[in-house]
Amino acid sequence: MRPDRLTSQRQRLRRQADAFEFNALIQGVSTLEESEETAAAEEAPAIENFPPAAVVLPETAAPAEQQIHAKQEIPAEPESSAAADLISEVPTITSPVHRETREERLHTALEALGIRLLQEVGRMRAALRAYDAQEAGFYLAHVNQLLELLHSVDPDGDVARHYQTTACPPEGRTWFPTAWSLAELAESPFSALLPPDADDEFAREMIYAAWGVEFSHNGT
Amino acid sequence: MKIVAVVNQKGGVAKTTTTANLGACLAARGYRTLLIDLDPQANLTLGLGIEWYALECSLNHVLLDPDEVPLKNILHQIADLPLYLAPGHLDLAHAEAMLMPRPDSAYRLRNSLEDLFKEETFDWVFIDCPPSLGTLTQNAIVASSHLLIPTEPKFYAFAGMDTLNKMIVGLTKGLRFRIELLGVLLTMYERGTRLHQTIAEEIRERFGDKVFQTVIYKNVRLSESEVEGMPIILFDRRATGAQNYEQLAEEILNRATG
Repeated sequence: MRPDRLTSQRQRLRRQADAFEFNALIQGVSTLEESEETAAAEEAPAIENFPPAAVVLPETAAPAEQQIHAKQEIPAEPESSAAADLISEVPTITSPVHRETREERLHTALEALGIRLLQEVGRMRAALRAYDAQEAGFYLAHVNQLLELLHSVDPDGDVARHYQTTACPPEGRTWFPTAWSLAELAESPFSALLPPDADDEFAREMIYAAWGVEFSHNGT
Repeated sequence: MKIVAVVNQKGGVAKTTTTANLGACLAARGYRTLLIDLDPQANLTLGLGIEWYALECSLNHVLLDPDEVPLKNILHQIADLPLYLAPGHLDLAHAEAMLMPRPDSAYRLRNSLEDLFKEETFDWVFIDCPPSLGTLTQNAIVASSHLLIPTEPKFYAFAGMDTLNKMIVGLTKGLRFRIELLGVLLTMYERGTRLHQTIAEEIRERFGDKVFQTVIYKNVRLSESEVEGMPIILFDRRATGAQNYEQLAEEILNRATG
């Protein structure tokens, strides 16, 4: 490779890396309370110079030594208001059905995911109609997660089409792409669900909410 | 004990290969190691010689109904090593859809591990995450003490890690957990490729000593060992892939013991 091209590529890489944020990864994060952290540190087994359990440790150990984190408080789902009336429009999931064959299992999974996708899109649409970007973002995250799964287990949508599962993509198409950024949302069919007078700030707030980040209206 | 989520939302970066082979290398050194296949594609399970579609119970049952199917009941020992696998299953995709509306959805794996650790001891737990940032990956992060991020030395590596960083920040808004980076692992590295070398240097510059010195070179024997359903160290100990993961295991143990 020519040195000037390599230099150019390196500069481009650096520009890209400069635009990104890695602090949470590099520094680590903790949302545990200080007192709980202290207690956990006291209970946790020492990492330093620990021996292989299979060689030295007994088969079982005191439960206190084996605890990871204490059972956690459960974060509340946003209280949906406008979504409620649309939820009844889509079918509900029944309890898990354990079928015999691999094909049937895939069919079951795709059907469940398709139903859930419609439910979450319905909730997102209701929130958008109510002009609630926070709630719409919450459901957009669910929609994106479902689409990631669908892309993962049936990348081309062929199996879903074969079984004609709920919300399967039409012939020649695959699943909708995810929308984790403004650019992706703009290109996504979901952008058609945005309120007619929604501006960039509304869309940005929705995307931030999908990431679980609160958006400050005063810009601070 | 360390619980390590092997995570990168990009597919094909050797998450599964790293989970299987690093776990096997640690187990071969006598460390009791648990591997958790949280990917609905269940490739870790298949790669370790277990046909997930023939299993009566797997992780999806544990996540949906831990009282009926505790984690301990689904563990499989691998190759006479102190290496255990909690097998994945395609139904994990179904489980994820079922879990999503439940308020405790992100804590299901952590709670199951807590119950397991009351009866079983492990030195290392590795969780093979799906290539997405959904509920299953959230479960892995909330249950883990550390992250291991395999990444190809490609232009998009930074974007992927930025996305993961955003996800971690996002999770701090609603979930209670503590996690730190065990390391970034350069995988599928091609010898003599200047571009790979350049990108690797940039990643090291950004992440410093969080990037493992060991790199995993592209090696067809790794893929062959997966077809044979066994870790590379049992398939061909002299292969480059085996040597790479042996070296990685040593490096991780050195980090763990300070």
